[in-house]
Amino acid sequence: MMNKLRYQALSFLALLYTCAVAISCTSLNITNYYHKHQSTLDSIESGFKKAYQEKPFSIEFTDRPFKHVSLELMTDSLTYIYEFAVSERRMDDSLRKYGFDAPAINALITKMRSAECTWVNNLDYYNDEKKQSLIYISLWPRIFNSPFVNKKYYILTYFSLPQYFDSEGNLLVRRRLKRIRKINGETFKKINDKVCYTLSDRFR
Amino acid sequence: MNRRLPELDILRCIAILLIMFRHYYIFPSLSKGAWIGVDLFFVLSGFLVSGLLFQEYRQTGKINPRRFFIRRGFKIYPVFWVALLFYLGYYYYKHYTYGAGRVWAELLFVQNFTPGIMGISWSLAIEEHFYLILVLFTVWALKKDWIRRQRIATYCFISIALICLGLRTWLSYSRPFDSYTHFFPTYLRLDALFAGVLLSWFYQFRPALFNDFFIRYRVPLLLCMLAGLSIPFLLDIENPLLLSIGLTIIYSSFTVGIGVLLAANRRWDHPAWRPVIYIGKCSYSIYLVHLLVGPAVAHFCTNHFFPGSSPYVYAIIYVLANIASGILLSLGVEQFFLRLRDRWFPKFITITITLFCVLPGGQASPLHAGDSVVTSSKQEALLFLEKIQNLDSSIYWPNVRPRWFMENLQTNINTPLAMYQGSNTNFCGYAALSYLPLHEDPLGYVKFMLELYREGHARWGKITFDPSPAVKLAAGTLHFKGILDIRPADQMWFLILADQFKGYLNFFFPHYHPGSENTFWASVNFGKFNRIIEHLLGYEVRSVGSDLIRPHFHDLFDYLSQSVKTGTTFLYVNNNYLHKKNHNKSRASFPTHFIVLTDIWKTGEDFTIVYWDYGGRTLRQVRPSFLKKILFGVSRCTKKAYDE
Repeated sequence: MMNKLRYQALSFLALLYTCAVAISCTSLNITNYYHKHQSTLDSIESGFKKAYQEKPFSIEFTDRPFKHVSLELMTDSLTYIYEFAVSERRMDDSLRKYGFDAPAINALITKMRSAECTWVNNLDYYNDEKKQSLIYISLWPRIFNSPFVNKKYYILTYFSLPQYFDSEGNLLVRRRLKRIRKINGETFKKINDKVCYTLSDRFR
Repeated sequence: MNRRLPELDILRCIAILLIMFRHYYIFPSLSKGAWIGVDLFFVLSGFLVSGLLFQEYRQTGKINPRRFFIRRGFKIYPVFWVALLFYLGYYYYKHYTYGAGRVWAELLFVQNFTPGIMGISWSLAIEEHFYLILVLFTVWALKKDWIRRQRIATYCFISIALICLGLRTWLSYSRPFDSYTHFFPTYLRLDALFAGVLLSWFYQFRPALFNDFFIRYRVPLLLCMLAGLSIPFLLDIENPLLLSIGLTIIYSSFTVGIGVLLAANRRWDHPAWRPVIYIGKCSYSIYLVHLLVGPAVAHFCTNHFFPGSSPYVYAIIYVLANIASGILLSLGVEQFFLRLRDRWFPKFITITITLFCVLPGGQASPLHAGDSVVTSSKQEALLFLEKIQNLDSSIYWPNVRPRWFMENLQTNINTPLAMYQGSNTNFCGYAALSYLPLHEDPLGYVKFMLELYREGHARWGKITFDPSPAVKLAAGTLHFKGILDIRPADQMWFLILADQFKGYLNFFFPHYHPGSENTFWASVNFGKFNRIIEHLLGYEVRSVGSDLIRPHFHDLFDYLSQSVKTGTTFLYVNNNYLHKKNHNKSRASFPTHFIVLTDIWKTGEDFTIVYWDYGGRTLRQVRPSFLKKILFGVSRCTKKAYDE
């Protein structure tokens, strides 16, 4: 009787462990995520790039249902951080007040929402002491939202210039300098010459 | 403490009433422990007398022992001598005999070691000895520049408390009780006075912490106080337990009581309090005569006017006669000499107009006139930099390129708000505190940085920086940190600060290794942050908060807006909420980030805050509850009004 109970308990634990591993493994299968959603993601990047060139800003979704958005509106003297409900009228007023392209930003927000993109921003980095920029897009797809997965953000970096990678696809500092580049404390892997990805436990 | 604190007069009144009842046994249970009135006087004296010195130091930057002793002399001696004459006259009238030694004991204030005339002046002797020791201590601390150091003040008190306790314990358990060996000696009672000194230190130098502590924990503290003060009413005075740890508990209870009372910041305007406050004001004179006048008058009245009356009548006459005679003595002698004192030896001349303001919510903060003291200008700093034509490579900083170094310094002077701690570093505390020198002494900053670059070591104020070789090698090599990559001067600045100043977070990370900029090695906890500003930059820091527990604010908006108006205000916040990095529902609840609050106002129910961090100013609307949730510390920094 005791042995039977022991076997049942062990079987239950084994099943639980298998489930946990299975859930974790499914969420790690992300390499094709970019290719599946390429058009949407690229359009977010291009839309952001265009709007950012006019006036710098960043967009962050603050909640899981993607209903609340936080805008960082950068002016010469101050950065304004405001939080709005999506499609709240107050948001358009604020954008116009500070001279931002409200329709373009609204369109961007809609696209981000559909792609479960939680943050988009421009990051500066320095190569040979020269300033370069990249666009940093953090996605929070539901398929990554498993209870046993810590790294739930799928992050894409769009560079303006082709980058260098080692044989394993890790982003390097320079072609000759075989040193792995870190962006925001993360190492990135190649998707194509200008786009890299990583998984992270934080979206920025 | 420019104004008289009515709370302390009320406590003095309580103390003198206790002492009176100690010497009149109408209520045996009360008389048994009423001697604690003297201990209350001790703590009050320690608090007030040291407060005078601390206040003088805060306002003038120095202490004048001569003036202090003269002013104390005017307060103590005239009334004391007059009272002594009363006693001598009474002895003469009663034909009591006494040796000259007793008079000398009174005059030389050694009546706590050998019997004097009055019988109650032993406590005065202790106070006189205390004045000497206190002044010596304070002058020593001043010379060492330790007077503002919390740790020094605390350790000094702990040492004194342990020595006194040790001596009391040894004596009370090894020898039979005698007042002159077990109760009166200065070395057994100094701890009570120094408890008052410690309380005064926090009241003067850490008012926010003082108020926060005594308001937040007032209920348990008061319960402990009541429990502690019940001990002398339960145990006999000769009980070794009472004489040893008991005395420690008693003065600690009084210290707590005074702290809670002061932090409560109650108004005592009601007319009912006036007589109580007045009695407290005359308590010194009452104390001196209470053993002589009260019993004599009460005895005379009950014999002649109320023969056969109850002891309660005697008690009432005794108390009233003591109070009346004390007031008369105070009016006739004490206050006359105090007026002379103030005319001949006025209080120190204040340099700055200081209003000691206790804000609602118990946050005491002195509001300074002219808080922002700019010691050099941006133009001076730029002119100084322009004169440097060709800066050679430094042998001490091999990876710092001179051109980038100079450009970095110029950027910092031209746009001080652009200082950036780098992404994924723990340098935010150092970047935040740089706000002060870059705005108020840019010339001092560039001179220091250039000296450091050229000589490999440099001095800022009283602190000499001689960075470790690892740090010198690292400066200029930090990469992937955003714009910090091309700012070698900032890398140097952050690295040397982290290398120089250590906190408990450095316990496992005392030395720099590549990558340490993102570890506890570079972390700044709240105490360390305030210490750097205070000791390195020479600012007076009023801080409230801690690394783990959020401070209590009665009115957060009022506190912060006052703070912003009167000094440079740093907030120690939980960055997991301010700049959240993930959507986890449970996030670590501790602060990791420093910001400089430059403005705050109300927008409807929300607060709009303007703050500096990450190389720029941000305006943001936040809910009060959110701000309370993220806020773990507030430091208000004002430039000291004198040069140390």
